[in-house]
Amino acid sequence: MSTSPNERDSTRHNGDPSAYDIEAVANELLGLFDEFEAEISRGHVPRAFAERLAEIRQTAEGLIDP
Amino acid sequence: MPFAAALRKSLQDRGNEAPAEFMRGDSLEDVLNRHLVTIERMGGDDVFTCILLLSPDGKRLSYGAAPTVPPSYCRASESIEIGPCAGSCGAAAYLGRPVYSVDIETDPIWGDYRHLALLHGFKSCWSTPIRNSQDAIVGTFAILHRTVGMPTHEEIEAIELITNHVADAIMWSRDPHYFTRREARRSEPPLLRLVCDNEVAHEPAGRLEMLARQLELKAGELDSHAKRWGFDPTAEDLRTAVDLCRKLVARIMARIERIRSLERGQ
Repeated sequence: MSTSPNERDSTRHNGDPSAYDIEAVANELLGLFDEFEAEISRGHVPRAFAERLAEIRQTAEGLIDP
Repeated sequence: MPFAAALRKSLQDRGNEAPAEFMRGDSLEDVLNRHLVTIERMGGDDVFTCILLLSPDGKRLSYGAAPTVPPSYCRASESIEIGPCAGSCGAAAYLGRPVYSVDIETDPIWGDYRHLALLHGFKSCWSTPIRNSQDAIVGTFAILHRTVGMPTHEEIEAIELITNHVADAIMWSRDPHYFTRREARRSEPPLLRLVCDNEVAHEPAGRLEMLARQLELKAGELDSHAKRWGFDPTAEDLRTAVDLCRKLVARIMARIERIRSLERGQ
């Protein structure tokens, strides 16, 4: 079920990020962990993990410190 | 016959037999044990299965069936309060998703239960919530091994198949009209589904809370890996991930508080 941009914006307040935005980043991060779980548990952190983590972190920083 | 097809056939046969077994007075444990024995025979020597049932208040797991798991292990884990560090089953019920514990010895989710599992020679445990047709969790299904390891894609598919059949048996034991009611619900008009979606969409605090729990759990797991690897440069990536998880959790908790304040009209 999708939410329109207007609906999303209506949940913002004084620069506070919407629940929708936070949820999207959290899900992306959990998806990343799931994808690389097997390799990490074997003691290997692939380069792709670090790269995608950096991208997610960049998005998340705007939400963590708005 | 390939493993998945053979398993499907065996479980279908078991599913067909279960109603008659209940009707002649067999207990849920008897019926579930037969399901599990079927699975263990097909899985090989290093497969020990276990079903725990969730209490009506959704807070505790209790013994359901485990035909080959030592009784001393079953007794000790007879009533488990679900939580992020309550072993694979307690965490799977708490988080509402499968929890594959690759190495019990180092996995932080095992908390106080680690010693018990290791004492009985169990090294890994893959647990999956069992859901009824309305998607509510009614228990957990776990496969314990005496070796460490992750499930393969085929094994994950097999586990999904098993949990569906186990869910049917559990629900049938509670309501002999379960199958009739389930079919009736499936034929209801989609309007009901839309109402469900609508309710979920308007409960962001609940969804955020679930995400915070999952992030907390992941942060704990990754932190444990990072500490084990010490000064390995790649451990730095894990520490970054842990830091990001914890900052997001803090942000989520603040957001939940804000949503709840608005709901209270403050």
